[in-house]
Formats: sequence, C-alpha cells, structure tokens
Amino acid sequence: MACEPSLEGVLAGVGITYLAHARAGQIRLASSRDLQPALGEGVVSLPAPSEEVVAFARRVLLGFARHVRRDCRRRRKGVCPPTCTVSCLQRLMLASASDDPTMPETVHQYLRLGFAVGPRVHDMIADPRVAAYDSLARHVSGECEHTRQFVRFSHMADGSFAASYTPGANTIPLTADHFAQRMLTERFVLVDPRHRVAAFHEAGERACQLVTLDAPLARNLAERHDLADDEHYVRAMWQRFYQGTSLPGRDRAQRGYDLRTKWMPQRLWAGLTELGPERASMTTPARYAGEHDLPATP
Amino acid sequence: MDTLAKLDILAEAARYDVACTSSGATRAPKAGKLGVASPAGCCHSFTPDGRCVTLLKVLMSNACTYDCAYCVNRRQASCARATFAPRELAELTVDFYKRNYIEGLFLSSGVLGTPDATIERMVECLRILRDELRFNGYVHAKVIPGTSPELVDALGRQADRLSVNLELPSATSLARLCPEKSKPQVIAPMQQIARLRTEEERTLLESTRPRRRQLPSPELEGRQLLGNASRLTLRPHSRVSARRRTFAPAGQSTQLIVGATPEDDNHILQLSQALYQRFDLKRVFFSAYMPMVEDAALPSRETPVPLRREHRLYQADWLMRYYAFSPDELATPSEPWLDLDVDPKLAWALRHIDRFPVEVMDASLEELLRVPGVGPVGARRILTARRHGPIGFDDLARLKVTLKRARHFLSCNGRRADGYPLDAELIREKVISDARQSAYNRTRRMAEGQLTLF
Repeated sequence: MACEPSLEGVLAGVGITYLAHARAGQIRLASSRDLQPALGEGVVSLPAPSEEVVAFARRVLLGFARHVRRDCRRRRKGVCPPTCTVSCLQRLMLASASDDPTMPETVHQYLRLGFAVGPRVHDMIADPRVAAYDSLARHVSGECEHTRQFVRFSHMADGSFAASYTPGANTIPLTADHFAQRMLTERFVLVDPRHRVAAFHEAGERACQLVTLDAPLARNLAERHDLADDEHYVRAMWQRFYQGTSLPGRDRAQRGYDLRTKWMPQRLWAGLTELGPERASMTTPARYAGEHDLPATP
Repeated sequence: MDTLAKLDILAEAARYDVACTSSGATRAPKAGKLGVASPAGCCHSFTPDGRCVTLLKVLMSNACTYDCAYCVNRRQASCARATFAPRELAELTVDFYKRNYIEGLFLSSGVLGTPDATIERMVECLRILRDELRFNGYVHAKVIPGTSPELVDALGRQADRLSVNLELPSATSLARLCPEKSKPQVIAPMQQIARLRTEEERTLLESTRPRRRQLPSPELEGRQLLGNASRLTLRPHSRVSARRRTFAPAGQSTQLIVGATPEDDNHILQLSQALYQRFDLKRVFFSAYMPMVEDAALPSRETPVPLRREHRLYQADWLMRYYAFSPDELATPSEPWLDLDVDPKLAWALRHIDRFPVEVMDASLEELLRVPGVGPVGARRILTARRHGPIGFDDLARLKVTLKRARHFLSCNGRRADGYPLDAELIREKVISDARQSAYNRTRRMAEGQLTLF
C-alpha cells in the first residue's frame, strides 16, 4: 500500500488495512515517494491527503490511544499526565517524522501490534517490531535535539529573525514551539527547504504557525540576504568567541578520535556561523564600539 | 577597545573553566521576557577538542590582583588585559541568545581589586540582563572566595547556578599555589549557598501542603525512549522542584585541577563524595592541568596534559552518582590510582569477578548497574523487558546494552553467550586486551607514556 510518508498518511493506511481485515503480515506499507514493489506484490494507493483522510487518521489515532493506554499506571482518573515522557502519542509523532524509507511499514507493524496486545506493547521493548519503531523515534528525537542545538538565526533588516535549517527528518513541526517559547518576544521564521516546511512566529505568541511551502517559496525564504546592519559584527564576535574557547592538548590528534564530529555531524557544518568564513570588513554597532569602556586594570 | 577585541581576550581567558552546563533549572516562558531554561539544557556547539559550548563563557575582566601560580591571568602574567562593562556584556548575551548561539551566560572574573568589588560588577551585569533586557534564560555565576555573604546572596537571586572553585584538592596545595586564597575562604560561600538552599526548601515545604511525590518505578522508567539523567541518579532527590526556588535554583558546583599537585585519585574521589554529601553539590568538575605557566611549584611545561586521568575521574564520579559506587571501591587506599587503560567499572568488575555472571532474569537494579556495558538506562530497560517474558542476548542487543563488554558478565536464562568462556583469567585477558587496543588508549599512551596497573 502506497501512502504519504507522514503521520496522517500512515495512520490512514493502517486504518484501511484494518477495515479490510488484512493481517499485518499480508500487507506492506510503503512511502508513495519511493515505492518499489517486490515480485508478487500488488500495489494499492491511498488517496492524497484531504480532510476526509485526516479525519479518518484521527479516528485511528484515538482508537490506538484507547487500546494502548488502557490500565496505564501513569494515568490518573482516565487522563494522561501532561509531563508523561513515555507518551505513546509523542513517540508515534516522532517515529512518523522519520525520513527512513522503512518508516511506514515499521509504524504499521507497531500500530497493529498495539491494537492486538493493548498496553502490554509498552513492556515489549525487546520485540523486534517495537525495537525498530523505537529506533526510528529515537533517531528523530536526536534530530530534534540537533535542530534545537544547531539552528542559527540571523537578524534581518526589518527587525525580525530568520533561519534556514536542513534536518535529517521532518523536525520543524516538532521543535517550532521550542523556538516560540525561547524567542517569545521576537518575530521570526524558521525554514526547512528539504521538507518544505516553515514555522512563522509573531512576537508574544506562545506557538508558531506551520506552513507547507512550494519549492520556489521555500528556496526564497531559505536564501534571504536582507540582513540587519549589526548582523555581520555579531557573527564575527561569535566566531571569535568560538575560536577562543578551544583548549590545546585535547584535540583529535591527542584523543585518537574526533569528539567534535561525534557530537556535531559534519552534514550540518555548512549552516553553522562559527565554522563559516570570516568577513574582512564590517560596521561596528554603536553599542559595541567601546563607549562603555572602563579601565582595564583595577 | 571594541567588544570584538575584548571578546578575543576574555573568552580565551575563561576557557580553563571546564563547567559549561545549562541544566538543572526550569523556567517557563514569561510574557515580555526573552528565553527559557530547560532541565536538560542544550549544547549549541562543540569546540575542536569536543567540549560543549552551551553558555557564553567569558570573564568579566582578566585584570586580576591575585597571583595564583597556575593561572594564565595571574597578576604577574604579561598578557593583554580587558574588562567588559556590565551593560556591554549583558547586550552581548542577548544578541547571542537571539541567534540560538547559546543558552545563557557563564559569568566569571579575575579579581578586580577585591572580591566584593568584582562581584558587585557581576551583580550589576546580571541586574541589567534580568531587569532591563528582560532575559529569562540561564545564568551560571562564579563566586570569588572571600566575597561577603550579602553579595553571594544577591548573586544567587539573579543566577541559576553558582559555583565556587575549590581549584586544588587539598588545603596545603591551595596555600602553596594560591597565596591569596585559603580553605575557609573557599568553603564559606559553599556553606552559605547550601544553607540558603536548604532554608528555602524548608520554607517552601512549610508554606505548601506536602504532596506525595511518587517517583516512577525502574520498570516504568525502562519504557522511556530516552533516559532522564537527573532522575536516574541514585542520590536523594530534592523535595522541591527547581521551578519554585528563587535562590540558585540549579544548585552549585565546583572545579578541581588535577595533575598540578600530588594528591592521588582516592583522595580526589573521597573529597568529591564529601562535597556532594556536605554541600549538596550538583557536579564536581575535573580539569586536567595544562602546563601554560613556568613556575617552580608546578610540573614543567613539557608535561603532557593528563587527559586520561581526567577522563577516568569523570567516569568514577559518574559511577558514584548514578551507580552508587563508593570512592574506596573505585580507587582503594592501598591502590589509590585509577587504572588508565581500563574504565573504573570494568576494573572493579575484574577485581570482583567472583560476583559474575549476573543472571539477567532475576538480578536487581543494583546488581545490573554493576555489570560493565549496562548503564542506568539499559538496566531499567532490562527490568521492563523481562516483565513480558524471557530475554536472550539478541534481545539485549535490541535494548542497546553494550554487549561487547556486558556479555562476559551476564547470563540469560542460565546460559552464557556462545563462545565466551567462564574462565575468569581468560575474561580478564580478553577484556584488558580489548581496552588497551582502543584508539583512545593507544593515542594517550603515546602522549603520556604511562604504565598501567594491570
């Protein structure tokens, strides 16, 4: 079954296979973007996402939640605690944001297992189907953390902030509210040109507006050059700070392995201000021109 | 001097402070304010040597009146000097924060005249940051030994975490290398911070109806996708959340230089344990001594940086906090140095090989935590998974247990892993040879030229 590689697409696919009384082993969910049928397989395509598909996906999601939350010891009076870190639905959202081509089938197998065994699925963490699903969710969770770490905003001429970031999974919808809370007083846009998603934030709002973009608009937003006057100077200060913090005698040659690359994947380096080229000339903003200078010695 | 030039001097001057965490504080977004603080913190970059950059770590000034022998900013050092104005540094912090470069500010300073004069300037910087620029993010501030209690209190009301650097592991070494500092001067602010935090906790507990705080069982913790580091420590947890505190909500930490003075690892671990217990420290940081300064009281400038020793001390510290090891189990008074080739947990297991193999299906959390290759998260996952049914070595691999080490020390349903002998001496030989062949150990052996204990 070819479906859209998104939470809604996979949930709708699982719902249809369930209603068709097809056993989990009889059907394989695959992304409609890179479907390659094996010998002997027939292909059924789900309709493109529409209001009906989303409504149907929501029904499947609520049904799944009902099944796996039954008797959950974390629930109080039938309600899940807001800080539940085991959160079955949060894990589902993470796994479905993966770019891995096996995502639809992995999520499909897990959901079917959850429908079959109910809350026991939480304890089956060594089961290959659960382990594969957790592995996807863990990978996306790591990508979300990279997004929170390595997005770099620029101050634009209109006073707002803008950033372009290309994650290894569709993480912008999952992390946009983190940036909204962090930058509550600022107006900003965060663009992911690969997944063609942008998060727009207005000053004072607690959440972002998520927008799906077409290719030209995603490109335009990602390649804005109308920077504010102080931007180059602040970038230069950050570069200088970064260069000054490293200690001698502890680098790769001294360790036998590259610790920096382990924590900061090289695919992301191109977007990092601290590793970008240094600018020869720039204007010094008045607030950094040494007006507040005090004697250097006591 | 413009800020760029000052930053050049003052970032480099601050890099010897190893603490750079933004964790432990919880602050929700507030209307009209910029920033939040999250319990796990966030690392925004990594230096070429692999250290995390999470805070703008700078000195307020490197014009220091003290003359500590090991310090590059000592009074007698002939280096460029600079001093940030309070507003300048506050604005820099906000500019970096808005670009997602940092989580907040790590503010330290050389001693500008007196400790009180220096801390006053730091408090002013934080006042501008918090009150005028409405910054709601994370701040770590360094207290200078000898600061008056009123200023320590004022600093703790603005900062999330305070730290007082112990610097050297004994009073004798401190007196020899830091003539202007003394043990009572260092201990006094640590005591004050611990006391104020305890008093605030008591007041908060008295003012609100006590709530039964139910920690989830280890079996439920094992269901989690990722481990929550602070919850996994085996030390007692505070009954008041950081969110409700107003004084140093993220607690206090300290830093010790290792390798500059003759104290052994057992001494350092005993000291760390005492600090955790006496002052409720969140972390003790170890900084391998970097011979940057020529001084008769210090190792020569050609001495290699004791990187592996620092690494093993961190591992041992982790074992004390997360695995309930005691200092004497890791480095005994008779063998007071940690083995450099083998990590401390593996070294302990090899010394107590008679306690293994541990049976996965009925071992307690404490027993599982003592198995090399099984961490706090892995141990809890095992407890969760075995509720569903028997688990084997393939299942352990799926639970992300490091089987390369663990399979020597575990049995699953009474069976050991195929091809792995029960003979203690063979295990010992294989494990030590594997550890010695690692790229890290080979590189450091060449740099340090040290012998191992095994």
